[in-house]
Amino acid sequence: MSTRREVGASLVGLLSVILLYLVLTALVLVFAVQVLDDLSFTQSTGAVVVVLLAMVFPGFLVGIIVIRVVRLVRDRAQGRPGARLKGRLLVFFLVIVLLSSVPQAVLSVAFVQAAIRSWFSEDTGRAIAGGQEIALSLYFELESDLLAFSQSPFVPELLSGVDTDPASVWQKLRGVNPALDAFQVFDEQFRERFFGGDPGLRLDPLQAAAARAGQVARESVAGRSFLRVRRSYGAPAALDPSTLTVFFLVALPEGFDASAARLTEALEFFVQLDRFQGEFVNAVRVFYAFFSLPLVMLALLVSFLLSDEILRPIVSLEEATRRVSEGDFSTRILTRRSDELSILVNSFNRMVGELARTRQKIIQAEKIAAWQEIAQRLAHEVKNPLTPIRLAAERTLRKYERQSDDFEDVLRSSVRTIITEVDGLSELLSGFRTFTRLPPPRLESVNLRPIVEEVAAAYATGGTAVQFTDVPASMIARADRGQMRQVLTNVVKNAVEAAGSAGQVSIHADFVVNESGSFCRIQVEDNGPGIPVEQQPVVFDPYMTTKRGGTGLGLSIVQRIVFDHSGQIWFETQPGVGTTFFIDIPADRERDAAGRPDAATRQERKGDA
Amino acid sequence: MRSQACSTAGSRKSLRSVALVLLLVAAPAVAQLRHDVTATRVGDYLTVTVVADGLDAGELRANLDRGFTARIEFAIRLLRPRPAPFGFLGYELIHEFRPHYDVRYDPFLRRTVITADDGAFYSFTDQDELLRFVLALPDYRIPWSVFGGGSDPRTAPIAVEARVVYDPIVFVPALGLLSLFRSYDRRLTPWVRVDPDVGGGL
Repeated sequence: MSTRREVGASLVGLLSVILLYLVLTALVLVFAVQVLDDLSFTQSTGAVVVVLLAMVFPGFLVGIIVIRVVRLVRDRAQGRPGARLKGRLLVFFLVIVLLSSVPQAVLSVAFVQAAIRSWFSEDTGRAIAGGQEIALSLYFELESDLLAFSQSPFVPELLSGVDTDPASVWQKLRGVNPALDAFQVFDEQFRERFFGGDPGLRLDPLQAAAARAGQVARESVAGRSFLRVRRSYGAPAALDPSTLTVFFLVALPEGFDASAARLTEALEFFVQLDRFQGEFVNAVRVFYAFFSLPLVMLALLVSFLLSDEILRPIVSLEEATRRVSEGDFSTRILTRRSDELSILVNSFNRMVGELARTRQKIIQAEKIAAWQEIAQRLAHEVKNPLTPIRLAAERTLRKYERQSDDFEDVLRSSVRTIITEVDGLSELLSGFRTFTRLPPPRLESVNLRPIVEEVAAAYATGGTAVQFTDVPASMIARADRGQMRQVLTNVVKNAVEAAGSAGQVSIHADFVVNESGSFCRIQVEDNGPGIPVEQQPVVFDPYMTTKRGGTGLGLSIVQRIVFDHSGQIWFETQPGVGTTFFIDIPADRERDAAGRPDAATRQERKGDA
Repeated sequence: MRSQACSTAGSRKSLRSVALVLLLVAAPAVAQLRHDVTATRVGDYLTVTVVADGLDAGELRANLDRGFTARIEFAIRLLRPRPAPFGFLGYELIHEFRPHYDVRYDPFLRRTVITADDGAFYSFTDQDELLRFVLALPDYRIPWSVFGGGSDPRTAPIAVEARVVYDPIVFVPALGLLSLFRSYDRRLTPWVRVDPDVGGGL
C-alpha cells in the first residue's frame, strides 16, 4: 500500500536524483570551461573536478545501482510481487537510454574527429606556415633594406645639409628610399638635433642611447612597431660636435605584431594538433565517457525510482486482490495519487466493498435457506412418526369404546408403536443437537492407525467382511481423537450397512502429498449397490438418507468434522459395483518424518473433491 | 615576473597526488633536474630563491625548434604547523604560489623569448644565458600580509616548500585535455622544505 512514508521516501529519492543531476551538470560545465581555458594552467582545480567526476560520482552511482540490482534479483528469486515486471521495466528504460545515448556518443566523437580532420587539415597548416614564411620574408627584406640603406656610402652626403635645411634632407632621403618613415639625428650627448617624418616614431634620448649601432632592431612606441637602425656619421663642418648619431626608421604595417603573434600561435596549434591528433581523438572519447557514463547511470537510477513509482499501486493491487481471494474483504488500498491508477484503485476499493456487502447478503440468505430447509426436513421427519402414533391412539380408543375382546392386545401393540416412534423422534432430535452443537476440534498429534483398527474390529464381528489392509504402522495427524473415531465409525458403519451381510468392506490408509500439503488418507471401500446418480449431489446434506430409521445426519457430521480439521472428504461410486469414501486429514509435519514409512510417499495432483 | 601569482589555499597537495595516481599521470623519472631553495625573512617580506639545474640546453632547443612552447614553473608553498590537537597531521598549507616562465622561439626576432606569468618579456640569443635565467627564481618576495591575522608571521614557525616543474610542451587550449592522460615528458623535482633564515629587518 502506498503509505505516506513511502510517498515521502520516493519524493526524497527523486529530489536527490535531480540534485545529483544538477551537480553533475555544473561539474561538466566547470570542467569544460577549465579544459577550454587550458587545463594545464589550473591543474589543482582540474584535479579536483576530475577526481569528483571520474571517480566519486560514478562510484557513488554504481554503488546505489548495484544495491538496487541485488535487491531486485533477490526479490525475483523470492517471487515477490512486481519484481519481474520491475526487471522488464528497467531493461526497457535501459534500452531507451542506450538507444539515445550510444548513437549520440558515436556521432559526437565521429563529428569531433571529422571536424578536426577537415577544419585543421594539412593544407590549412601549410597555408598558415606559408603565411608565416611570407611575413618573415617581408620582415627580413625590410630589415636588410634598411641596413643596406644605412650603410650606403651616399648617405653621409645626403646628410650634409641637415643643419641648415633638415626638411630638404628628409625629402632627399625619402627620394632615395621611399620605404623610410622617419629619421632622427642626435649629437654625441644624445640631444636631438633634427627629426623628420612620422612623429609617432620619435625615439626618446634614453631609447636612442640604449640602441646598438649597426644592427636593425624592432621597437614599439605607443603601440606602433617599427624597425630602426643606428649609424654614426661625421657631422658637417658647421656642427659641433663632429659626430652625429642618426636613426633611420621604417614603420611596420599596422597590426603587424599582433598578426605575427597570431600566425605563430596558429602554427604552434597546428604543429601540436598534427603531432597529437590521434591521442586527442582518443582523449575526447575518454572525456565523453567520463560524462556520459555517469549520466547513463543517473538515468538508470531514475529508472529504478520511476519503476518503483509505477509499480507501487500495481503491487498493492495484486496484494489486495490476493487477500480478497483469500476471503479478507476488509482490504482497502490507500492512495494519494490523482491519475488513472488512482481511478483503478478507487474502483477496486468500491468493488471490494460491494463484494463484501453482497457476500454478507448471500451468507444471510444461505443461512435463512439452510434453516428453512432444516425446519422443513425436521418438520417432515417429526410429522412422519406422528401418523402411526395417531393411528395407534385412534385404534386403541376405538377398541376401548367398542369394548372389544382384543382391546388389551391392541393397547399393548399401540403403546409399543407409540414408544418406538417417540424413541425415533428422540434419536432424531439428539442427532440434530449433536450436529448443531458440534464443538471445535482439539487438535493434537494422533496416530490414526489404532483408531482405524478399533473401528474395523468393532464392525468385523457382524456378517460383513471388514478387511484392514495397507495401513502404515504410524500415521500421525493433527486431529481430535474423539472426532476422528466418530468420523471413521460413521463412514465404516455406512459402508457395512451398504454392503449388507454378505458384502465386503476394505479399509486402506496412506500418506499423500499434494499442492495443499501432506495428508493422512483413509479409504473406506464397499461393494454395495452404489449411490444412485440423483442422490450423489446431496449425499452430505443434512437429513438425507436412504435407510429406514436413519437420521440423515451421519455424513453431514462427518463432512463438518473433516472440514473443521482443514481436511477433505469425497467419494467415488458406481451403481452395482460399490462406493469408496476418501478422507484426507492433515499430517503432523513435526512428527511427519518419524511417522512416514517411506520418503517416497505418494505424490499427486488431486482435483477438487 | 616576480609578482605573486597567488592561488587559493587548501589541501591541494593530497588531491593533486590522488588525481595523479588515479589517472595514471605518473611523471617520468626525474633525470637530472634538481633544485635548491633558500628562504629569508627580510623586513615585511619573506624572500624565496629557487635555483635549478640539470636541464639540457639541447633538449630545450629541440623542443623550441619544433614550434612548441616550454614552461618552467616554480611551485612555492608556505606551511605552518597545525594547532593542537591536530599537530600529529603535520604542517598545513597557507598559500601556494606558482610563478612560471613560458619559453618559445620567435622567428621574427630570431631569438628565444621568455614570457613571465606577470606579462614581463625577455629575449635571449645565448642558450647558456637563457638556461641560467629560466632555471632561477631569485628573490621572490612574499609579503607577510598573506598570513592574515593571528600570530606575528615574522616570528611564527613557518616552513617553505618548493619544487620545479618543467613541461616541454604547453598545450594550446583544448589540447590541454591531453595532459589529463599523460605527462608528456614532464619533469619535476621533489618537494624540498626549508625553514626560513632570519635575515635583516626583524
